[in-house]
Amino acid sequence: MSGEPVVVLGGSGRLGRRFRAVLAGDRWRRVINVDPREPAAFPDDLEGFALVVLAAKITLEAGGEGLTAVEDLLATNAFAPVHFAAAHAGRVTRLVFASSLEIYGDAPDAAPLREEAPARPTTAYGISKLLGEHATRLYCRDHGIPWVALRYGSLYGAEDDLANALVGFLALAVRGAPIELHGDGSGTRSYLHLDDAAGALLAALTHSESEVFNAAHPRPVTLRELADTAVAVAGRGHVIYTHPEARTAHRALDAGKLRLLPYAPAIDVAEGMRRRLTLLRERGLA
Amino acid sequence: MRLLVTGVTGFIGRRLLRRLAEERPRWTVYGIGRDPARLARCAAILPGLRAMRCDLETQELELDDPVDVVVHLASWVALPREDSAGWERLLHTNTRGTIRVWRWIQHAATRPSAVIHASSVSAYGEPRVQPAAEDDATEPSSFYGLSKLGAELYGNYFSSALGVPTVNLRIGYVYGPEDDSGKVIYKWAAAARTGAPITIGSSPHVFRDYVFVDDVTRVLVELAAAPTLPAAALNVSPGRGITLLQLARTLQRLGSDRAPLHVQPTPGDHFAGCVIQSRARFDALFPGFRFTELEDGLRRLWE
Repeated sequence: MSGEPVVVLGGSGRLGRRFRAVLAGDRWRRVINVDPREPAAFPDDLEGFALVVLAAKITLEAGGEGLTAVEDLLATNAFAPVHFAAAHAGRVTRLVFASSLEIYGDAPDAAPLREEAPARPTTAYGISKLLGEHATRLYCRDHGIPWVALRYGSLYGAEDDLANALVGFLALAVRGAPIELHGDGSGTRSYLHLDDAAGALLAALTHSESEVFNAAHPRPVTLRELADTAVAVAGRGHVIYTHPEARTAHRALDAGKLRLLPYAPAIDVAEGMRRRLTLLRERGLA
Repeated sequence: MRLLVTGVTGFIGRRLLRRLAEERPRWTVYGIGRDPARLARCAAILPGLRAMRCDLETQELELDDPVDVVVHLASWVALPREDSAGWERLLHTNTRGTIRVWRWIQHAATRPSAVIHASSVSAYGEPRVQPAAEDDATEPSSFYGLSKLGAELYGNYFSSALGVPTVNLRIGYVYGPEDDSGKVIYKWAAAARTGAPITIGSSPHVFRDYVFVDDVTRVLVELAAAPTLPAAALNVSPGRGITLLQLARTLQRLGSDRAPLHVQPTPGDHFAGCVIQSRARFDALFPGFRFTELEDGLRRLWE
């Protein structure tokens, strides 16, 4: 498909690299990656372009380190999209904002969260993404620009994945080490493989309505399923249950609406873990 | 009691100082504002005021003295037509500025025991269900509302990380004497008094949950003096939707019907920001609290 150029704000991360690789298959579409910290390095000859805002993933909540990143996250995730769009007013033809399941905060129960659920982010990262989403919506409304926000579940599928349960469980199983689950392992999670995440971004570039989508594999998993799958994929390791009194936290998305983007994620956690393991072995990392 | 008031030179801040001067003469009050001349006027309202200049849009808060309670009023308020162009100033002053207040608390030798934040009904946006309750979804329909929601969220975040309780007051559409914000209500009040025409320049059915400024300052003082703060958010308004037509007619009547009334809606006008707030949580907390009737409040605009 040919089309207008795509400017990716913050496209050097895992998702940005995968997305640019997908776009590279389209020789008619020019792709420009912009570092949100150095937006001045932007070529000035573009007439009109689609703006895809990925920006920064800094999650350092553990040990209270997130507290130090508050201002940086606010600048890169909340201010940067509108700042950049305003600096190139009249040339942004559409805007796609990569948001996160962290905008919801902890779910009250196991029911997967729909897009209408109240947003109560509890992390500095989640707050900054929520504000970026709202800023995108308001700016685009005021300037008549179509927009889409994708609220991603936990992303994985690169050698430099951030720590999450899927990545951690698989690493333990590969080493033959026990996977320790606190409580009964019934807590729910939503994941999306980076190939699907990039595919959803591509679909969002041609979506006609301005709206928000949860972007995750349509079937959430429990931590118990995730651990069992890691053991099955690795062919070793085992699961042990400790801390029976531990509180069960749910963070699952209802991603049913994503089919209207339209996009149907193809990679479930079992297939995704197999791909990740193959990747790590190719790189000599597992 | 040692009280720190940010945004002390603003509309609510000045009215708060009047109440403190009258009702709490023994409190030590620190006041922060942007403008030296306005700070000087504040010192005239409350003689013992310890006034300090600081612009939270760009400057860190510096104060070595310990305080017990922070009343965070500092805010940039844009009129609706300036909202979109003013997004950066709104977010920097209101959201980023609130982070500056919490950074000061984080590094203070003695932390305050409570932070009372003046948020706004604008945080709700266009609620699907009316009246809007504190735990309902928030989807601001203006950058002003977004900047206030951002301040709430970071306030809650720092509050939880630092163990300093906070409450976000979702204050309705504030009006009262001494407001220099240029809201249309004051133009109409002046017109009603002199007999000049009152012109409704949007749909006459647009409504607001108006709250009289002295009701807000009373809540602020009572919360500052209270041993504990209520849950994270609290609506502060009478929970009544007054249409622009009702407002204009009330002013007209109070002005002995001298002023003619014209309705000239702008084409494409929409019902932005029409929110009635639920009073359930407020009434449980302040049983028997009587909000000023609209007519009484409007009459006092002419004091």
